[in-house]
Amino acid sequence: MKVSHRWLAGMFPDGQVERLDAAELARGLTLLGLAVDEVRPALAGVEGVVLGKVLAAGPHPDADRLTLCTVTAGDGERQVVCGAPNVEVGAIYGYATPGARLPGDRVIERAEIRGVVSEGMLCSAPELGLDALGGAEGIWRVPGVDDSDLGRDLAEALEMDDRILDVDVPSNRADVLCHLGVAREVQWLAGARLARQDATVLESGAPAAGRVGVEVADAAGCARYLGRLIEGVTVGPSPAWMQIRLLALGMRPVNNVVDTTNYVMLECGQPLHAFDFDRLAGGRIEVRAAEEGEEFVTLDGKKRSLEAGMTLICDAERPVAIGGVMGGLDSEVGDATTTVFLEGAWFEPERIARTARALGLVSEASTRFARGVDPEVVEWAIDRAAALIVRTAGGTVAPGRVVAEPRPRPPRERIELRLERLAALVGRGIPAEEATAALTSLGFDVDVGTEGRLGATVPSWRFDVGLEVDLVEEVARLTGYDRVPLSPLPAPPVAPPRDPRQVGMDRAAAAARAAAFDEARTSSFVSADVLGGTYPVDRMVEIRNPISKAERFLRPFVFTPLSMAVAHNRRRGAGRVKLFEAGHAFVRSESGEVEERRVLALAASGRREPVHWSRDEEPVYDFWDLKGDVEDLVEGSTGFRPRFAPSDRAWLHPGRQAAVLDGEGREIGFCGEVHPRLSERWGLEGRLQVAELDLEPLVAELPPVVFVEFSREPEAERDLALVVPDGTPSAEVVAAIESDPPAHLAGIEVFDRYSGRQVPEGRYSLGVRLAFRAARTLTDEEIDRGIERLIARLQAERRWTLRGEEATGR
Amino acid sequence: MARIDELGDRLTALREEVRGRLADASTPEAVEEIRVQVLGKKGELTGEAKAIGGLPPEERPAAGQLVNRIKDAIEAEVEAAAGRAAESALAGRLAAEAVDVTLPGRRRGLGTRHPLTIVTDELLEIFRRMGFTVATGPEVEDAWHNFEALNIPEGHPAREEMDTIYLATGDRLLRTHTSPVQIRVMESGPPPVRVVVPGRVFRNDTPDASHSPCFHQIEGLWVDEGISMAHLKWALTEFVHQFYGPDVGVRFRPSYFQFTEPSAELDIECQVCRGAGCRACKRTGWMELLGCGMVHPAVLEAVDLDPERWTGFAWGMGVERIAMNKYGIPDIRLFFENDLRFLRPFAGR
Repeated sequence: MKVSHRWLAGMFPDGQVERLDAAELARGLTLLGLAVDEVRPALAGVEGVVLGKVLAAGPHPDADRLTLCTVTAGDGERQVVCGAPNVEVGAIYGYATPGARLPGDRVIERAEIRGVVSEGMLCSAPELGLDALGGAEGIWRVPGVDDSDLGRDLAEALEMDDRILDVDVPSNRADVLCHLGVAREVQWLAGARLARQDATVLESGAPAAGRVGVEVADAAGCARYLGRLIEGVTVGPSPAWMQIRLLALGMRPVNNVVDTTNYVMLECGQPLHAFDFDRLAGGRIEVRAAEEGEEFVTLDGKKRSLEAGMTLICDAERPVAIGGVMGGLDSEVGDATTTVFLEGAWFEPERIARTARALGLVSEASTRFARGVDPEVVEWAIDRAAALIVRTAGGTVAPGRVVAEPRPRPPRERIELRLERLAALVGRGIPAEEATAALTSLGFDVDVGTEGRLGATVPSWRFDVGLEVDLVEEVARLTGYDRVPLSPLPAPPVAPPRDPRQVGMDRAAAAARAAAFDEARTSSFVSADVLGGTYPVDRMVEIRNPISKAERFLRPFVFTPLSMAVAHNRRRGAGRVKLFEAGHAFVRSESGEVEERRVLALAASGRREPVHWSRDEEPVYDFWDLKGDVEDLVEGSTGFRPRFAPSDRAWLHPGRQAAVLDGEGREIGFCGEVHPRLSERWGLEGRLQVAELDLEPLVAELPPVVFVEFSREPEAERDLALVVPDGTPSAEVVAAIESDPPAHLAGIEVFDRYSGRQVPEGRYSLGVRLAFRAARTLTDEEIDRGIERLIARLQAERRWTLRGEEATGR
Repeated sequence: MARIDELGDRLTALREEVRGRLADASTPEAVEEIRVQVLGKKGELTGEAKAIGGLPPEERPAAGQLVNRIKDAIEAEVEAAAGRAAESALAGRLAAEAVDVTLPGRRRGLGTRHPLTIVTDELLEIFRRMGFTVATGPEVEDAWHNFEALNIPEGHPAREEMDTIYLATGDRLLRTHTSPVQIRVMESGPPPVRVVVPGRVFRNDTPDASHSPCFHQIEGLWVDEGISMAHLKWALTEFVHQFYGPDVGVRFRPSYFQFTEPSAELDIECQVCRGAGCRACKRTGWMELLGCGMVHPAVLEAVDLDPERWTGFAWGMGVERIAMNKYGIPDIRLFFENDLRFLRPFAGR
C-alpha cells in the first residue's frame, strides 16, 4: 500500500504530522507493525519550474518551426523560444526558468536560439517526468490552475514534492489499505486527532429515487448496494494535483469522474464504480448471481465466461458489471457522459477473491473487496465522491441515495480484556489507563468492566478483532514491544538427550564424509521419466500444481537428483565426484498410500582417488569401490557388516548391482552401477555408481558390544587357491568352507581371483586366506590335517580342486 | 736379534698396515674383507700365531702374549671401523632416499558438509543448550496439520499466500512451513513442550536468486505454564547474541501470523553496515531475521490444550537466508546446484 505523506499530513489539520518527516513516520509505523519497506520521492525531481502564462506568440524571424513567446510568471515579461506546435496564447504552462532542473539531471540555461535569446523553456509533460499526463510532441497545459497561480513553483502547486511510503500491510489489516486507516495508526504516533474530510453534498433537482431503482437478488454476494445520481457533468481530465497524486500512488489517471472514485477509494478504502447513467437501460439496477457459462464483455474489451456464484450488476436488460471486480465496456463513463450513476456496495469478500482469481482480474478495487471493507463507510464514501465529482466535473447531485440492503449490518462486538491476562501474556503489567488510551486511539470504545477488566467495543473497520487475545496484541504493539522485559526461560535442569535416530544419521553422514563424499542438497522434484521408464509412474507421487511441467513428481529415490548433480560437476570438468545426501524419498504403495522415507544416497563417478604424481594410471571408481564404501558406511554407523545379494533393478547395470542386507538378511537398500543407457540420458560420460540406504531404522538402536576373550597367540595363516566352476559366487565358496570349518578357523578372506590359461576352461581360481587361532600355539601338523580334510571334503562334495592339482586330479 | 723381537716388529708393522687399510675401507663389506684377510683362518695374524710353534719353547709364552695383544688391538680397530662403515653406509642410504617434500602427498580426499547443514547444526546446537530437543516430521502433510490446526481455516486468504504445492491425488500437500511439526509434537504428549524443528519446506515459487521451490526452515516451540512474551524476547535475544555476537542490536516489531498472537518480526542490526544503513538493509539499518509470537489460543485448542492454563511461544526462520547472509552467498540456487567449487571451500567446517 503506497501512502502519500502530504495526504496523510493533510488529515491532521493542526500540522502535527506535517512536522514529522517521512523517515520518522516510516520508523514509527514500522514499530507499530506496519513495516515501511521504502520511502521515496513521489516523482522525479523538478526544481525551478514555475507556472507561466503565454501572453503573446509570434513566428521566429529565422526559423519556421519555432515560436517566439512572451511569457509572464506574474512578475514582468520574458521572451521564450518554443519548438512545440501547440502554443496557445492565454494558456498556463510549466515554465522552466534559467537554472531550472528537470528529471534526468537536465539543467535549463539562458540560451540563444538562432539569434534570439530564450529565457528558459516551456515544458512538455515528459520533460517534467509526467509521461502519463501528456505526450512529448507538445508542451503540457497545466490543468486546474488560473492566473492567481502564476509564478508559483510547479512542483509545489501540483504537490509533486511529496514522499511516498510503501507500507507492507499485514494480511489481517484490511482497514489499513487506505490513507484513513494509516492515519488512525498515526494518531497514536503523533498524539494527534485526525479530522475526517467533509462529505457534505449539495443536492438539487428531482430525487434520485424517482429516477433509478435498485434491487439486490443475490443477498449472499452483496450485503448492501447504494447509488447516487449526478447530472450535468463535463467529463475531462481531472485537476493536475489529483492526477499527480494518483500517479504517485501507482494508479493511472483516466478522467475526472473515474479518477475521483479512485481517489476516494485510496482515501477511505471503499471501492466505488461510476456508470454512464444514460446507458443503463430502464433506469434500474439489479444485483444477481451469474449463471454458469454466462458471458460478459468487461471494460478491457475481453469477453469473459462467468461461473455460477459470481455477482453481476445488471440494468433492466443486461449485465453491466461484474460486481466488485470490473465494469462493462458498454456502460463506462466517457467523454460523452453527462449523467453519472455512482455505485457504492459491500460484496462478500470470499466471493470477490474467488471471482478475481478465476478471471485473472486482480485490481486495487477487487483486492480491497476481497480483504473486506468497513461496512459503515459506504455512505460517507459515496457522498464524498459525489461532492468531489461536482468539484472536478461540475454538475449537480440528485437528492438522496438509492439503497438496497438485504442483510443487516454486523453489530459492533464488545470484548472484555482481563488486565491480569494481558500482563501474563505480555510479561509486564500494563495499567488500565495505558491500555484504554491505546485502544481508544484505534477507535475502540472502552468502558470499565467488572473488577480488573476493560470492555472494548470494536470499531466497524476492525473486523479482524474478535478475541481477547486480539486486544492483547493491539495493546502490546501500541505500548511497544521494546518495553517488554527479558525473562530467562525456566530451563529443565538437564537438557534431554538427542534423538538416537538423529545421532545415528549424523554418524552415517560423518562416515560418508570420511569416505570422501561431499554432502549435497538436491531438488525434491523429478520428471516422470527420471529413471528412463524403468520405474512405474503410478508408484511415483505426482504433484497437482508443479513449478515446472516436466518435474511434476516427488523423487522416488534421492540418488536420482544426486546423480544429476554428479553429472553437472563432471560436465564442468571435475575429475572425481563423490556426493551424498540424506533426504526424503517418496513412493506410492500399491494401495496408493504415500510412503515417505529418510534415506542416505551415494553417487560417484570419475577417478577412484585424487590425482597423484606417483601413480602411472588413474583407476576409475568402480563397483568394488562403491561396495567397499557402502560396507564402511554401514559398519561405521550401525556396527554390523552388511551382506550383499544379487538383485535385478532395471535402472542398474544387470551384472553390477546388489541388494544390501542387514545382519538378519532384511533388505536395507541397494548399490550398483547405473545402467549405461540411463547415465547417458543424464549427460554423464563414463560409469556412475550409486547406492541408496534405508539407514534410519538401523542407526537408532545398535546391538550392545560385549567383550569376548581373545587369544593372545599369533594367528597362523594358510592360503588356498580353489578352482571352481565359473559363475560360482565367492560367497558360496566361503559359505562352503564355513559350513564345516577346520578346527580353530578364525577367519576367511578372499584375496585373489584368477581365470586364464593356468586354469581349465569354464573354471576360475579363488584365493582364500584362512586364519587359525587358539588359546595355545597350534602346530603346523594339526592345521595341515584340518586343511587336508577340508580339501577332501570340497573335492568330494563340490568337485572343487586346488589350483595346480587339477591336472593330476582328473 | 732374537726371533721374538723380529716377531714383535712384524706384528707392529702388521697392525700399522691394517690400521691404514681400515682407514680406507668405507663399506661394511670392505671391513669384513680385511677382517678375514687378517683375522680369518688363513689370515695374516693367524699365520703369525701358528708360527709361534716354531719358536724356541722359552720364547713361546711371550710370543703368545704379544700375538694376543696385537690381535685384541686389531679386533678393536676392525670393530670400530665396522661401526664407522655401517654408519656411513646408512647415512649414504638415507641421503639417497631423500625426497622432494614439496611434492603433493597421497590424499584420500575430504568430504565436506553442505553449508546448510553447517548452519543448521550451529543453530540447533544453540537451542539444544537452551533446553530444546530436536523434532522432525514428514514433508508430505495433510491440510489439518499444515493449516487448520494452525488457525488457517479452509478458504482463508493466508492459504493462497502460502503458494501451496498439492499432490495430484488425495488432499495431501507439501508442507509450506515446519509449523505442522509443532502440532504433531503437541499431539504426541502433554506440555511442557520444548522443541526445535529443522526441515525442508515447499512453496510454489518460480526459482530466482532469492526464491527456491524447496528451502529449509528451523521452527521452535516452547509451551508451559506461565510463558510470556518476556520469555520469548529473552530466548530469541539470547539466540541472536550466541549466533551473531553479544553486541548485535535486536528489535522486535509487531507483525501478523495466523498461528501466533501477539506476533512479531525479529530484526537484527544489519550485518553489512552494522546498523548505519546501506543498500542491503534498504537504509533502515535493520535486517529481518525471523518471525515469532505467542502461540494463538486456537492452536492450543486444536490440540486439546487449555489456553487459560498453557501458554507458549513459537518462531520460525529460513536457513538459506541466514546462510546466505553469513557466507555472502548471492543466489539461493547455488545451494541446490551442488557445484564442487561451491561446496569445497566449506571443508573442515
